[in-house]
Amino acid sequence: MRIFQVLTFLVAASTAAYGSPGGVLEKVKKIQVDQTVVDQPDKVDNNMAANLIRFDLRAAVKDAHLDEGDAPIKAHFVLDEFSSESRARRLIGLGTGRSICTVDGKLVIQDASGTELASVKIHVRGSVAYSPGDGNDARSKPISDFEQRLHEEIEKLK
Amino acid sequence: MKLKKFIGPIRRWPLPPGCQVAAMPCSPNPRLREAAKTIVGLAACVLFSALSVFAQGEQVFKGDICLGPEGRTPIVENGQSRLPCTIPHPKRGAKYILFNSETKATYQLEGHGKAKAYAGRTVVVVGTLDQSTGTIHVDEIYRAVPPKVMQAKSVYIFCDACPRGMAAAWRAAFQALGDWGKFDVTPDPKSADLVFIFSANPYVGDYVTRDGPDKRQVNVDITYMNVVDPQTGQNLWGDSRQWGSLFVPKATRDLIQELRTQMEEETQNDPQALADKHRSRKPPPSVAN
Repeated sequence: MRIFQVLTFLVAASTAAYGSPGGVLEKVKKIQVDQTVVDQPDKVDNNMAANLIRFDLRAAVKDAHLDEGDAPIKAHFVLDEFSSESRARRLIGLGTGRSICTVDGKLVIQDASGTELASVKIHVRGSVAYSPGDGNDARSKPISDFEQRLHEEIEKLK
Repeated sequence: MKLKKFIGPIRRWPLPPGCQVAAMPCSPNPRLREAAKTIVGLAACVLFSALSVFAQGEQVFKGDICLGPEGRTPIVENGQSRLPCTIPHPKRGAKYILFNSETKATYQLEGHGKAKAYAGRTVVVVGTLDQSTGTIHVDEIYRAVPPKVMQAKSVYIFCDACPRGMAAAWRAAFQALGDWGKFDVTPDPKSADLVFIFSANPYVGDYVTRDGPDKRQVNVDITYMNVVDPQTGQNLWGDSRQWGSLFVPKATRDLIQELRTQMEEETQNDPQALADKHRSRKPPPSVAN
């Protein structure tokens, strides 16, 4: 009897796992990337940060083989904190061309009515929007650390 | 002589009663009379020159400088015969024309020896049109921003050969283009209408053809900006600033500002303002095409 119960549970669990819907972006072909939301501007030390973040999100959408443009499914990034490296560190790194930033926030996916479909917390310390040294091939695009992380998260939602 | 004839009657005109009072004490003094004559003469000169410019009807024309049909030999492409805009070795005495691809209008160019130097390029011509012969009497010719740049909506920023201090060019360009707001800075080079290439090395027209990284040695001294057609790799606009490694961001912003100013001027269609601006601007260094 107990064995029967265990077998029933296993069958039910595997059926549920197999039949469960995929990520929120499973059947999505196109995403609209909205402006970055900055709730606390005093925690963002770079006036370009919001635009850079959106640029990377657009790039990550492309990397995930999704089209970007007007669409019912929308994505945006809620930026909680953005800090560029200090001047002292920049001086130490002078000559490398690398610019390290710390980004804290969450990636939000919404449907046409504005209902939140997914929200993923993201913390990255690395390059944002431009990564020197990766893009010397005219036909390839340099991938920053932040873009790479966003790409991974979007892939998980597919 | 003509000026004297013009000034003579003016001097004999009776002054209105109110002015007579003020003029009376001045009349006996010959020095002041001479000064008055000079002022009237100068005013007449200014008036005449303004009238002559107005009468000429200077206009701004845009188009491509091409060889006239008699200077070219038709070539056959895909079974169709067409006249190329320029050929490497045109016949002696070949004349150049201005061809506007949008309106399909063709003008003969007269009175300017520089047309040959702009052969095959998109230009702005400031001059007077003789409607009867379709000839433009050229005053000035400037290299124009090509229509593809003027009509573009999206750009991709490509920081080529951007190690060390040159890496700052990308962010400076991103910020400057964001402030301008004319172009959408896209992360996808394939969907961009234009590619803005920033580099410490001059562009050699290899955006499409180059396989792998730029292997030239990079010495960050000059910041080059080239606006390139992503389909053909053709250089549509370019300039540079030799401001050293520390001023790469400033040089980048200045180059974008130069392009912005030029584009805004050309949309205004004011021949005098255009001519003044170009005269005051130092000539840009030559760029590889």
